[in-house]
Amino acid sequence: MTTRMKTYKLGQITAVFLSLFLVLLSASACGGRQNHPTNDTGVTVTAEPAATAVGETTLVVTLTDASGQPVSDATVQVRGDMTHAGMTPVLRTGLPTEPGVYSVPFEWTMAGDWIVTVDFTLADGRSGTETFNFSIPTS
Amino acid sequence: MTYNVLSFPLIGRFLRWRWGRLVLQTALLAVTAVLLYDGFTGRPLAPTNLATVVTWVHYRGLVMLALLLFGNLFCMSCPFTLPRTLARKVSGHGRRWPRALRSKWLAIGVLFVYLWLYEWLDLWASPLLTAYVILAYFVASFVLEAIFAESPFCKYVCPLGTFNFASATISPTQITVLSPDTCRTCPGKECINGNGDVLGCGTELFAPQISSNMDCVFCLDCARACPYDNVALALRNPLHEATTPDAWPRRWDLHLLILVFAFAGLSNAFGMVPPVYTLEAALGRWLHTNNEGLVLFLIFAVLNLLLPVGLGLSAAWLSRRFAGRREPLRVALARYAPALLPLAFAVWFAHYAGFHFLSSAMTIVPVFQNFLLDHGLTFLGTPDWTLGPLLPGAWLDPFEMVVVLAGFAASFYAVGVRARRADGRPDTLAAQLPWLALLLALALAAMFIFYLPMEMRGAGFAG
Repeated sequence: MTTRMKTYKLGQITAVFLSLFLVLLSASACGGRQNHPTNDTGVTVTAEPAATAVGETTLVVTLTDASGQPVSDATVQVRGDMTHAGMTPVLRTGLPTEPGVYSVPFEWTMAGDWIVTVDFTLADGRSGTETFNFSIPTS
Repeated sequence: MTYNVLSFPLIGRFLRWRWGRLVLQTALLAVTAVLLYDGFTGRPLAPTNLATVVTWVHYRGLVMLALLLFGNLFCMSCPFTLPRTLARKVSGHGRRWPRALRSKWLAIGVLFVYLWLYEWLDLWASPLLTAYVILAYFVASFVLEAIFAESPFCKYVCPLGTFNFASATISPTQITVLSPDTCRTCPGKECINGNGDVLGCGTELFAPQISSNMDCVFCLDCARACPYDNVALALRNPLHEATTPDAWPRRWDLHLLILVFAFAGLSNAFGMVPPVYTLEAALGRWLHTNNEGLVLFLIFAVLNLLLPVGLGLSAAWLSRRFAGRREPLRVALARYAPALLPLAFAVWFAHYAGFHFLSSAMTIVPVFQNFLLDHGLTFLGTPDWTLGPLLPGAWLDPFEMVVVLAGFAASFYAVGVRARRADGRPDTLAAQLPWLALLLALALAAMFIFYLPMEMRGAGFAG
């Protein structure tokens, strides 16, 4: 009887923890949070750094629509993160230099792996986000 | 004994309170639940996710500070042992942990694997993997406690526990008893057996015989269970264990753990500096492989196992020879290995509390604000992503150097004290030289690594 009771309690506790885990997984699967970068504007984004070495550089961001035409009059915000937790991000604003082309003064503050996030807002108010990975070698 | 923390106003009362530990554990469990949630559901970008920021920046930095200033506070507040305690209550005393595994060998192995996986899988860069690691701690703790007695997870398996036990040997507090005579005549030995309301010591340490923080999770159940209020949490000299020859049993596993702990501190920092890439690439070419896991395994097997064992045994052998002693090598190793503790701790401290925590502690503010915004909660405002360092970047290198030099000086002093207190007769300077040379080499290596530009490793390996 005692053994059965112990087994029952053990099963209950296990069930509680499994349930907690399933709730977490469900929350993830159901997209309970809107925090993942998306781009359903149909705009194609590219981001090309002038240099991939530690130090200051310029990031050239281009926006083109579905027909390949440059997208002007957009606002472009760039965020550079290293993959490591705890790193202060590099935050910059893009300046239009020619139709569909935005120049972003940027700085690779450290060697290693970077994730550059480009947030853009079109003139009609629609917005999107794209991310790009870069590896900056030790100088 | 000078001061008993348990007799201090407020803090002493809280620590002795029956539910004191549970309050701390519950608070940390709530934090851990948030980390799991954000790790599994948040944006998979490490610098913006609570799971990675709190785990790899704040947990590690704050643990080092707590160990230096007080003691093993994390194990005291460990949320992983909450389900463990439940498991223990429902499963009774369980079976005994296998005799063959009652040592630190398994703990050394798990710590080695953990540190290797950390480097190979870039755990710091993945909120999802970090969440799985946290979950694995809960599962492992629960399962082992449900099957075995003697808290085998804490004592023999948990890599965090192993790290904290080794670090806590230089902490300024330790469990002891007010009157050994009271313990001698105590019929129930409740500190270890429990008293019906309070479990006894989970790691089966007998309070009057405790001479080290090794294996003590600071749960204070011994103090709560003692019917005579005879258990104290005493303030002590932080170098007590590093300088006291009889603080530890002369076991191979304990002393090799300290050597591994010391060398792993260096290799963990070495994993972030440019030469490791050169070494990886060279090794990959030599072995004709682009398998980073294999290459890193070999590098860390050498740095974390072969070098500490080889150099530690060499230092012990030379020291024994120079001292003209006839004794087992194990005894010669045990005479000086604990003297490495201050330097070993200093290297870990400089890396975790120095470089990572002081350079990034404030990032928790925008990351938490961002977490709230993800859920439509705006009362803390928009994130200020420029927040980050507690210390200006230019101060980090000098800070790390000072910490390493302080650790070196303390270890240097500990070698001298241990030489004076050696069995039978004091050791000569010649007998100390091999250990002093090892200390110097470790300190120079640490300073060299910390002066190199830190780099965030990741996808750079091409074989």
